Amino acid sequence: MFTDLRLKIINFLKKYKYHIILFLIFWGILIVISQILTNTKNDVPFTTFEVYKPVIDNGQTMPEKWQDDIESIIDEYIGYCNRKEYEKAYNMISKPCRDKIYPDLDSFKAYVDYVFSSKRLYTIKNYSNRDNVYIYRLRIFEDIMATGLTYSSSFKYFEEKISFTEKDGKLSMGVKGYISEENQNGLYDDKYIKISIAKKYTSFDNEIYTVQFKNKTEYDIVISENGERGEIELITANGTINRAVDENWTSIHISPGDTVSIPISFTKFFDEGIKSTAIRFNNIRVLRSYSEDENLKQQELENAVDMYSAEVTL
Amino acid sequence: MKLSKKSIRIILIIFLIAIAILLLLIGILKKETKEEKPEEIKTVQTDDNTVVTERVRNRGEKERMQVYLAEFIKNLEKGEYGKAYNKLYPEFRENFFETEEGFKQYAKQNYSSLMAVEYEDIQRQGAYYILTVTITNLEEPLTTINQMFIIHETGLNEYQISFQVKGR
Repeated sequence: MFTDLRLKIINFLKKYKYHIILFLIFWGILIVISQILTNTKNDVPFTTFEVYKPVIDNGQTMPEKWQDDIESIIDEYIGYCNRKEYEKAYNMISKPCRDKIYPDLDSFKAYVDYVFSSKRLYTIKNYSNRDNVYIYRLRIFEDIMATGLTYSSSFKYFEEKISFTEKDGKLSMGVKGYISEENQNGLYDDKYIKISIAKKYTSFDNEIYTVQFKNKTEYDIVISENGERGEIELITANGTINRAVDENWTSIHISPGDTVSIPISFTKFFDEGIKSTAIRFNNIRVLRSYSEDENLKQQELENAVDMYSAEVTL
Repeated sequence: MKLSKKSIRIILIIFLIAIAILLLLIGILKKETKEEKPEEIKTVQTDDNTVVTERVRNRGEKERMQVYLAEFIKNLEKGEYGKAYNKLYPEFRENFFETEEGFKQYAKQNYSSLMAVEYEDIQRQGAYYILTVTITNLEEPLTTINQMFIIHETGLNEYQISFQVKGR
């Protein structure tokens, strides 16, 4: 019986010797791999700092293919600023952004000379991503390793948002929160006034519309007065209403027959991805007479030709 | 159903591979969950650096920075000024302590051989960690220094230090 069993085993080994050799080789490789895996120690310090993990996670991510490129671009830009190679740094900024933020090299030089008054270090972090626009938070601070913060009582930094817009397989860089500027065709026209919206400038936290008012009458028209809140509103697709920020004007008054063009700004965060649909002017006053005298205001309103609201679709 | 020889061979190969993988996994798991057995105590000489490296491995950032600063303070307490000097960021050394002797004089004036470190804040700015601490020299006369240290970590237990130099 044992002879029979022995014979069977020998026959089995002879018959499947190649399979067994293959198996032993495979086994040996697995053992070596397991030794390597279990003996490899982790020498990379753990950190919670992830440059590419966005601060605002809206579900859109930045493609990995751009990560190294963006880091290199920012490094090069900061390097030029540190070395006061103004023109090289300036030319890295997209032309539309340059035209908007730093219309000439001198204005950019002033920025660089102020912020980079000495050698600066920087950190970056992906802030948010929306529709092929990748926004980074850039912090610029003194070379704290070289100074040890010896001449400062606390750690301070400059911070701005830098955007990278992907188009046709290329990236263009915007600084100081610049995202885009585009033409608009918004129009409202009635017997008193023609309101046209020519341009929209989008930054990280603002939308600024260039609005032209043409007074078609012999009366004074007042759109907003003394920074009154709620007289001009931005309507969005999800129903939210943003009130105008009156940083560029206190009153919008158009004399008879005149045309004025005013930038009207609304606080609105680009990465929320909410579309703006209209601008509403809640209190257009067509007045027979107008003065800036507060004491006469009530009388002027009582004598108004008309008072109404109008909405310009974007 | 009678299986062909080829089919049997394939089945056999797959079976052997499956056993190999299973045994491998068992081996890995056993190694990771090794039972603590009383082992013969062996005396192995390791240098301070290895001890610290093993200590900070798998530790969080805050803890690592505290260990690094503690090592630097220990160097000052023990009068190991050369070791402490070598940990300083090169440009920082050039700016404030061109020579090790200059650093030694500064350290002797400002730090004692027994200090207590109280952490007020640890913040990270990218790859840089800023530690705001209060150092109390516990030898008479008791003095206290509020100071910021900046640590740039380049690897596990590999770092450079800068700090607010007093009297500048």
